[in-house]
Amino acid sequence: MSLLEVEGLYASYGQVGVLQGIDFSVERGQKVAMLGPNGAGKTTVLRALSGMVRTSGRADFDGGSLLRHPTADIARRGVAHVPEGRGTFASLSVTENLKLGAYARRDAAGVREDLERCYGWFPRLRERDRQPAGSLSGGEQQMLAVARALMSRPRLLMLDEPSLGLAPIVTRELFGVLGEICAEHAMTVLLVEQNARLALDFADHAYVLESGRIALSGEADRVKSDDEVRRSYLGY
Amino acid sequence: MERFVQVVVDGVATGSIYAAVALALVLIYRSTTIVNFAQGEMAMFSTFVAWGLYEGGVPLGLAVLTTLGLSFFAGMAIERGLIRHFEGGETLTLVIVTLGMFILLNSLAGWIWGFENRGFPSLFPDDSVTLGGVRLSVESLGIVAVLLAVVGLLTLLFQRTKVGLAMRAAALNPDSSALVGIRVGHMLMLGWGLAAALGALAGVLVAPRLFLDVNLMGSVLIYAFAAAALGGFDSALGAVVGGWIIGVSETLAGTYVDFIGSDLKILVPLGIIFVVLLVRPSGLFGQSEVARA
Amino acid sequence: MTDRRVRIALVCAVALVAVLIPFLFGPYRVGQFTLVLIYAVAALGLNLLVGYNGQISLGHGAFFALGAYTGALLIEKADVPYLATLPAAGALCFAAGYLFGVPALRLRGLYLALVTLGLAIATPQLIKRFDDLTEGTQGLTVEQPTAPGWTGLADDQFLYLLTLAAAAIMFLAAWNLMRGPIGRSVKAVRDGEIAASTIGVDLAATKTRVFALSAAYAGVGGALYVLALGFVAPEAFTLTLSFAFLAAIVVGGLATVSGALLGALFIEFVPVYASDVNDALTGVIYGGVLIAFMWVLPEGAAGLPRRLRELVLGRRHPEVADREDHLKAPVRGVPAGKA
Repeated sequence: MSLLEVEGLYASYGQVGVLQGIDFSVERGQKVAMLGPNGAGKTTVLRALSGMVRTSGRADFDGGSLLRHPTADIARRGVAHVPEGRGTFASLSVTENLKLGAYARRDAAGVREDLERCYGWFPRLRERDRQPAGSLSGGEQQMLAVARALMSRPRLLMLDEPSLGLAPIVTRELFGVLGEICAEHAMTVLLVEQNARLALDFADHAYVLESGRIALSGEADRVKSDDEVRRSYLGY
Repeated sequence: MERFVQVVVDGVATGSIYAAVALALVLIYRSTTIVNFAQGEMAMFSTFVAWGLYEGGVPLGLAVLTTLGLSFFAGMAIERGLIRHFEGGETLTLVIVTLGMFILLNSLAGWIWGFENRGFPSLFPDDSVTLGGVRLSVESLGIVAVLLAVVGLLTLLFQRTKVGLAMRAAALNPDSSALVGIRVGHMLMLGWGLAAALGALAGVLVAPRLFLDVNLMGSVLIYAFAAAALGGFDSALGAVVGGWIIGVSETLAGTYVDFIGSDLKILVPLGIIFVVLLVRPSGLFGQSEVARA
Repeated sequence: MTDRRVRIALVCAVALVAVLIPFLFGPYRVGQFTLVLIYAVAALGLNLLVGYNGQISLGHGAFFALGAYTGALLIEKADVPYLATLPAAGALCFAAGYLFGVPALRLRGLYLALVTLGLAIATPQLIKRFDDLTEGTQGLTVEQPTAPGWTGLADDQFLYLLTLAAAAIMFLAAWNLMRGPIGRSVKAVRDGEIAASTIGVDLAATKTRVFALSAAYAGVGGALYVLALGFVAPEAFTLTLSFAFLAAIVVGGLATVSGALLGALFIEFVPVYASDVNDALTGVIYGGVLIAFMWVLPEGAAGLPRRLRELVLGRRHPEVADREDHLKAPVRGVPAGKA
C-alpha cells in the first residue's frame, strides 16, 4: 500500500473548481515531483491534502483518509507541509519557530536532539537562533521553514515551491542539503516546483499537472531525457 | 505633598484595575483581532457570582478563586459557542455581537440579582501602612501587587511555556500554526478564558470601592479601552502602562481640577484617547497601524 | 420588472396605511406610532452611517438628545415656531456632527466605536452639567403643537400626521440620495476604502459628511420627539437609547431604507410588551435579538423576503451570497464550526 494514495481528487475555492479529478500516489521513501505551469493547481494539491480547501474524492495517507479533517489533525498524523511563501512566524525567533515545528511531539529529549541536528544541517540558522525569523534572508527563511517541518519527524514531507524567489546558488544549496537529508533518513517527499529541472534532478518520479488534471506521469530520469515531453510540458 | 503621593498611589491602584481589563482586551484582540465590548459586563457578571457565593457562606478567598475558575470556563464556552461562528467576518458584525452580549449580560444580571447596588467585601484589610512618611492604604498597595503578580504570571506563560508559545503563534499566523499541529480553535478558547478570568479579577478588586451593581464596569470598560488604546492595542506592556497613566491622570484631574468633578471624569480618558490616536495612532508601545482610518 | 412594481405597490400600501392610522386607533396607539416614525427617522440616519457607509457609531443618542434640547430651548426660550425647530435642529446637529466627525473619523472602526460609546455614556451627565440651560434632572416642559381648527383633527392625530409628513420627506431624501452618485460613493467607502480612493472618492470628506448627515437625521428626530412628548429630561437619552437605534437598524436591515421603519417598530413595541413581564427582560431581548439576527439573518428583516425566496427556490443571489459569506467567514486554519 502506498503511503499516499490519491484518486479522483477534486478541489475548489468557493465556486471555482481547480483540481478536476486527479490520481497519483507516493510510495514510502519515494521522492515525487509535481510539476506544471502556473495556475495548473500544484499548490492546490498540497492545500487539499492539508485540509485547507474544499475537496471531494479520495486521498488516503497510510490507509486513513485525509479529506474532511482539520489541518492541525493532518499535521499531527505526520504530514509536514512547507507552504508557499514559507509561512514562518516572522516576529518569533528562529529557535521558537523550530520549537513550534515540534509542537505535537511529547519527547522533550528527542526534540532537543533534533534541534541540534537541524542546526547541523543548516548552520546559518544556529548563527541567527535568537533573531526574529522575519529578519532572515529569503534563503534562510526557506531553510528555516524546511527545518521546522523536519522538527516534527514527519512521515511525509510536502514542499510548495521552495525555490520561489531564491537566487540559483541558494536554491542549489537548499536542494543539496535536502538531498542529503532524504538519503540519510529515507524521507518520503512530495515536491511541488516551478523549476522543473531542479525538481527532476531531485525526484524519483514526476507528475505534470495541467489545468487541474494530470497530463503526464513517469520516472524522473525518463521525463528528463525525453526532449518532446520537456519541450511541450516543461518549457525547456 | 503627602496628599499628592496618596492621590498618585490611589491613581496607580485604580489604574491597575483598568490595566487588568485592558490586558484582557489586548489578549483577545491579539489572538482574534476582535474588540470585546462585553469584557466589562462579563467581569461584572462574574463579580456578582462571587458575591452570590460569598453571601451563600463561602469564605471570600475561596469564592473569588472559584469565580476565577468559573469565569475561565465561561470565557472558553463563549468563544466556542458564540464568537467562533463570527470569527474572520466583518468588524461590524462582531461589534454588534459583542454589544449584544453587553446588553444581554447587563440585563441578565439585573434580572437575577436586581438593580440595586450593594457592598462587596474587600480582599484586603481596611488598614494603612506608612511608607516613607506617607500613609497609604493597604488596599491600594494590594491591588497594585496583585496586578504585578498577574503580569508576571502571564509573562511566564507566554514566554516560557509551550502553550504560551502556541498561543502567540496562533495569534500571529493561524494558517502556519495549523500546519505545525496547533489546534487554533483551542488557543482561541484559552485566550478568551484567560481574558474572562482577568476581567473577573478586576471586578472583584474594584467592587469594594465602586459598590456592586449592574453598571459597575461601565465606566471601567471605557477607561480600560483608553488604556489599551494608549498602549497600542497589541501590546501587553502598553496596556499596563496605559492603565497607570489613565488611572493617575483621572485621579489627579478629579482631585485638583474643579470643572471636572466626579461625573465628567469619564471625559478625561476619552480626551486622552482622542489626542493620542491623532498624534500617534499606534499608541505608545504598539507596533501595527491599528487605529488610523 | 415585476420586482419593481411589487416594490412600488408595497410602498403605496404602506403609505396608505400610514395615513389612515390616526383614524383607526385611539390616542395612545397613535402616540406610539408617532414615536415609531420618530425613531425611524433617527434610525435611518444611523443606517446611512453604519449600513451604507460602513462606519460604527454607538453615540447616535447623543445627537438625538442635542436635537431634542435644541428644539425644546428654541420653543421655550426663544419663542421659535415649532415647525422651524425641525430644520434648525437638523442644521445644528449637522454642524455638530461635522465638528465631531473631522477628528473622530481619522480613527479606525473600533476606536470610532469606542469614542462614540463614550459620548453616549457622557450625554446624560453633560445634560445635567449644563443645567442652567437644560434644567438638568428636572427636565424641560415644552408647549406642544395643537391642531388648527380648520383641519377638524384631534391634537394627537395632528401631531402624528405632522410627524408623518416630516418623516416622509426625510425618507424620500435619503432614498434619493443613496440611489444616486453620492450614494454610490458612500457605499464604495463601505465596501473597500482603498478601492474607493482609487476611483476618486474623497474618503475623509465622504465619511465626515455622512456622519454629519446621520447626526442631522438624529437631530430632526430629536426635535420631533420633543413635539410629540412635550417634555425632555436626561434619563431619556442614556446609553440604552443609542443601543436601541443600533438594534433597530440591525433588526430592520442594514443598508436599507425600509429597514429603519421595521426596526423602529421593533424598538417601540417590543420593550413595551417586554417590560410588562419584567423590566430587565427588555435588555435580555435586545441583546439576544442582536446576536440572533447576526447569526441567522444578518441582512435584517428587510432581507427576509429575499431569504424566504432563496429557501423556497433554493437559489442564492450571487451578491447576497458574497456578502453573507463575507459576514460569516470561518476562522483561518479552522474549518467552520469545528474545534
